[in-house]
Amino acid sequence: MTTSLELLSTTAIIALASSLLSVALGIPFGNWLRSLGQKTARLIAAITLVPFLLPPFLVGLAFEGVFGTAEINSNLGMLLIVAAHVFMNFGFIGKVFAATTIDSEQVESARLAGASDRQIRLRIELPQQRQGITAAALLVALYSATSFGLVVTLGAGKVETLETEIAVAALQNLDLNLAATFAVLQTLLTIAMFLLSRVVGGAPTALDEIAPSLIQPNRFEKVLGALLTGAVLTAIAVVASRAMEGEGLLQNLSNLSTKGELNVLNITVLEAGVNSLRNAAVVMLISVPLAYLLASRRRPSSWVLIPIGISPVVVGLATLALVGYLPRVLTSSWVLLPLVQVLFALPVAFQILRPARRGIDPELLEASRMDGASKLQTMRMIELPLLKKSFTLAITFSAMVSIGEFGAASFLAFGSNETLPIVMFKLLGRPGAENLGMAMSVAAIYILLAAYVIWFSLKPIRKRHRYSPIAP
Amino acid sequence: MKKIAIAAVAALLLTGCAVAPAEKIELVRLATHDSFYISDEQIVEFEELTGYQLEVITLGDTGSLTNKLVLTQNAPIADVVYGIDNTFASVALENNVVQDLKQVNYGDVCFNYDIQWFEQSSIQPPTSWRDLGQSKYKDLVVISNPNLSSPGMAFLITTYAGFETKSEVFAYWRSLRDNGLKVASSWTDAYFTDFTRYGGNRPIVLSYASSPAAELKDGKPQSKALLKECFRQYEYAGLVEGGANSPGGEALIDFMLSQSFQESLPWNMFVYPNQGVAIPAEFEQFAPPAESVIGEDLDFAANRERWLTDWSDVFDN
Repeated sequence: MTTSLELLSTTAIIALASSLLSVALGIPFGNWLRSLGQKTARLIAAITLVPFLLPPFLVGLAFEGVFGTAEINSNLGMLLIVAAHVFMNFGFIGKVFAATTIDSEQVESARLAGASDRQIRLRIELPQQRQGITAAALLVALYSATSFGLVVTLGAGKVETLETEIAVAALQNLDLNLAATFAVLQTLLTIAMFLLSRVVGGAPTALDEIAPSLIQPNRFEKVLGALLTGAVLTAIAVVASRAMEGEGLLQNLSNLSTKGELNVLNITVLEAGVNSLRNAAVVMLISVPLAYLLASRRRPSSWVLIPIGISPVVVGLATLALVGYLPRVLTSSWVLLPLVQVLFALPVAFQILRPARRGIDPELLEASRMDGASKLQTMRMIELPLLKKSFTLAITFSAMVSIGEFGAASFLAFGSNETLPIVMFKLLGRPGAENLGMAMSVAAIYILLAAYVIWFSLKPIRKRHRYSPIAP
Repeated sequence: MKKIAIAAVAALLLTGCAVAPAEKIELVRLATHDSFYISDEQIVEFEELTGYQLEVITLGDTGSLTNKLVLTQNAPIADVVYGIDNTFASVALENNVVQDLKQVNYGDVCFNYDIQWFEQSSIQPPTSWRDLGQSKYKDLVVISNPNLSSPGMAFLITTYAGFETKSEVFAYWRSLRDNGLKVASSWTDAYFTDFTRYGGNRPIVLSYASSPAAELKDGKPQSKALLKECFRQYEYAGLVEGGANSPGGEALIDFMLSQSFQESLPWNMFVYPNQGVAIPAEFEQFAPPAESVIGEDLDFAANRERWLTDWSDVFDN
């Protein structure tokens, strides 16, 4: 029997190791990134941010594809999980690092005074970047402590974290008291990481720009950067090649309108896709207007960010416990899951809209009001056009959050309401090349979608305001 | 902005209401395990006969099925359940998630071996589950996890019924463990992934006496069940407590007990129909019910947790 303390430390160790390694690789990677030309840097950043945007279970899936299904023991499992976390997050750290602007005059004068690149980096750059990187590192630790789908996929039941044991206690042993105890520990851990990150980091860094550096990367950084980019491309290639497994890509795609080999699914993959889009639409419709409403208030509504620090597994469990107190119309309907997913999408939309909304010159709004425009007119004629890209991003990212969400869905989506991640997970758990091919072709579509969203969000705009499209 | 947010929420509630059941409930939601099968013709037959529409919700293995019904009992996700068996019935009944359970079929849990694999090797196939700790069967056996899978639980019960003392049971399990026994997470995994007949590397798999019927090739058997000292498993159907459509659930249970559905059970799900319904000739010849069964009389409800803890002691440490 694993004790709560052991579970807590396993979870924390995985989170910390993933975070430290992501930083260790992310910083040199970021340094290489900012030495590249704008166009190249954007391309490389887009490629390496794809894993960051993928749902954790999908990254687990890609990793399993690369390393095969060798017999996994707990040590190897932990190693794989940490590696997958680093793979997901080094691009994010690199991007945060590369986006931090360093006062160039300070660097110039240091250089004139005879400082070496190394000295400039250690004495001038790192101190200025420390805050942003620490905050980002804590977020990576947080993500790594809430990646249920990834741990389940790669750990093969041999790696026990708080999240997996919440699921085991609740779903296998019906021990809700134990599940609740683990849920409290999990929440304390992740909320602490989140709050710490807020305290250290302050405002999130702008991610849609790369600040060019005056310092050239050394050979190690160049090789490392190329290797990491190559690793991401390889993983994408593996998923793509597996999507062609079985009867080939076209057959796999046309199989998406079936329930899989041996009819393993309740609904076809296509139907699950429609469910996911429907959920995403609800999530967007609620979280984006609500986020904007909150972003427009004068007082900061930072409390909406708190769900970032809560594991979806915990939220799923809590919802199951609460449904007895909610009206039947709601609890027996598919709407319950997207309503819960709003919790995860709202902070993301808020993080995008808040800085953008604050970036609008107050005098501009004042002037329009003076000219007699109603609030609605001001919004339609001034705010919306100015914030077009931010809104597009907020909508897209809310939808992505919903479509990729696995933890809460695994507690709340059943039968004809199952979503894409649930269906993909079922396909993978079952035998048959056809099923594997189907799951992988959905994964490939997902990756394409993520890549496009990232590419779009990194597109430079003539800016009046700064915001972070990704960093929650 | 407030207006937009309010409009969005209102639109949402409207769609939420639109999917809520109308006055006469036509949909019957059946919760069942992953091995459930009903043909499209049978669905049409049921729907035309009763005027209800059937939705099948598979929830994993028998254990997962039962547990999910317990976890969602405040907002039941189904009206009727099929597939809870005598090993898990106590969990469902103690937690009041089903009203009562009617027997729909039975099956005998026992080991199957791959005939061709043993013919090609020089190893003698086993004759009883008691042989499986012998070194010649090292790394050849796969079972399913008793925590979640009902055949796994059934085998656990078999061993408690088959030995006089607990220390003998422990000794037997340890001999299996040290002999490279593989514990798959579900029957589906064990049978369709690890069993040699489906590309795995384990020629002995925990399954059912009826399974060899599924493996017939040109009228010749490809696998054989060890028919002594099996565990007889009864599968039940029952109304889910608090389900939205009890009349529909009743209609489905009646349908499952009808002659035509009962006769379809062997070939659809490879289980035996209730007493009084004939077993197909191929089953009689190559996949008959067990010659002897044990364990039925043990008190599962009182012992389940202790047995599982004992099992974990051997396998998790």
